[in-house]
Amino acid sequence: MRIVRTRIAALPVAGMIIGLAASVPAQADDRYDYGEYLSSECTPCHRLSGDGDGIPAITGWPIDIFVTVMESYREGAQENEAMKSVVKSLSKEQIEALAVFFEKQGQ
Amino acid sequence: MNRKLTRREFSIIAGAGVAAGTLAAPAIAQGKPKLVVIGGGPGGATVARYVAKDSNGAIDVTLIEAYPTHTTCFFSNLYLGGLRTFDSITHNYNKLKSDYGINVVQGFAAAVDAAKREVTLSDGSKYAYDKLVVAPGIDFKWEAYDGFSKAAADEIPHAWQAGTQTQTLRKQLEAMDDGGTFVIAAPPNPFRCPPGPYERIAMVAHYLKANKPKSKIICVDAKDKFSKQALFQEGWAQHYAGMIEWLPLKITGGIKAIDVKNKTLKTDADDIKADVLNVIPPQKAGAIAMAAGLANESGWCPIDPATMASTRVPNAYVVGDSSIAAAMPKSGFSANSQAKVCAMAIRSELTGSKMFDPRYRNTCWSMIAPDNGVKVGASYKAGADKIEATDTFISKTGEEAALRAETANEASGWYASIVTDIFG
Repeated sequence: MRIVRTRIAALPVAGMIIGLAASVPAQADDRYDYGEYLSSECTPCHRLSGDGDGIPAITGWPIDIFVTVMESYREGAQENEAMKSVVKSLSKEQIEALAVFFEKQGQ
Repeated sequence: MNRKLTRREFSIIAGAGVAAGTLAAPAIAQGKPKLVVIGGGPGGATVARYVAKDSNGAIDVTLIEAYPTHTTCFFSNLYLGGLRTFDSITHNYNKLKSDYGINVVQGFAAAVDAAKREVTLSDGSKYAYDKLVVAPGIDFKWEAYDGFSKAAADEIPHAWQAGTQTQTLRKQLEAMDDGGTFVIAAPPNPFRCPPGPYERIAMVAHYLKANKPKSKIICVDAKDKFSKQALFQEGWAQHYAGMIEWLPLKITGGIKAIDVKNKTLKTDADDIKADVLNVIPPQKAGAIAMAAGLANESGWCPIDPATMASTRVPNAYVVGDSSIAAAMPKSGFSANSQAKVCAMAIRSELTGSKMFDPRYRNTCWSMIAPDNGVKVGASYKAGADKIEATDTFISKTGEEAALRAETANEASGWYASIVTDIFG
């Protein structure tokens, strides 16, 4: 089970693992939590494990690459209709939050 | 299984003495808040998994499912066409139990007592809840056609709840002589998987073209138009020329009766005789949704578009095909999407976790041939009183073969991902 780092602190056993959680940079980033929420719209198609066949894996990408690729759908530089619709529904801030979250996945 | 049920029953019975006579939050009084989910399909299993995953054990999650495994309706047409094995579309609940600590109970939910917040199974066992999710999928209006009945489905499979029905239909197609006629009755709106009957026509045609090329397919439709119509009709003509005849409502006047023994549909126009007959009956919300009072006079369950909470029964939510999700089609993708909004709302209610703006999405891929896939999809938002589409897209007729092959490949990737998202 993939434990969500940022919610570990809310657990009764937090004292045991809080040091580990604090070592993860995303811990301090509100965008990670928001990105995690938004990512549930991506996971029907893109697996968090990083496995990809038929649909590309999007985990572990540097943040700027993730943002650039997503924006390329908005600009029409890439054609996939499903992704164009996804990007159309997302603000710049939401794409950044997703980038922050997905950068940490599949590693 | 029996041990688990007994242990579970014991704990509830033991706790019942404490809570007896108190209507307010009986389960919370016993410790962790309790979520009970009825139905282990794309909607129910996703709610259970997301609540368990994101609450990190703070919520006790029980998933009640009638069967030990779930065969997905999506991609079951590919099994009929010979593109998929039955095993590849059948999934168990092991990971939900082992990786997410969900108490998966095999049983049939028979009744909901909303005042006591308690679900009773057909074996008499009871499950208390603080929040209840009802995701039973569809049930059929067996009485819609004279001569038809639930028992008739053994001979005339609907195969619209995937499993043994789908296997029965496949066996009948395998047993049919070359030159036989496959007749499919497509249901009226609203129904599960709007493009599904037409994908089924394509997949059965694919099987027949390769194995029994003199055979014919007739579709008797309860409608005059259907999802992705231009795409399917183009694809049928391209791949299965001369094999498929689609009869809209305006031509037949609809099915008036079914002669089960002779596999014949009686319409206002002609009687239509089949060698293999596949009647997909008109539909309504699953039985437990009806029994629990969640459905309105339409036969479907109204919900709050921001949370998927029932507007009729307190502390209950409905996701997936049983719900009235307005602009969202009844699909596995929709159910999975609604389930995530529902899971977030339930966690927020039970543990005070943050509630973000609800977001909904659907994409439906359909296979016309092994290398010819098409898709339709949309973004949705919670409107004031219903879920509303904000942006839609659909594949175009005349697309290049390479794009269609890419879309077919995409469908395969989507399947692998969404079943992971649902079942872990």
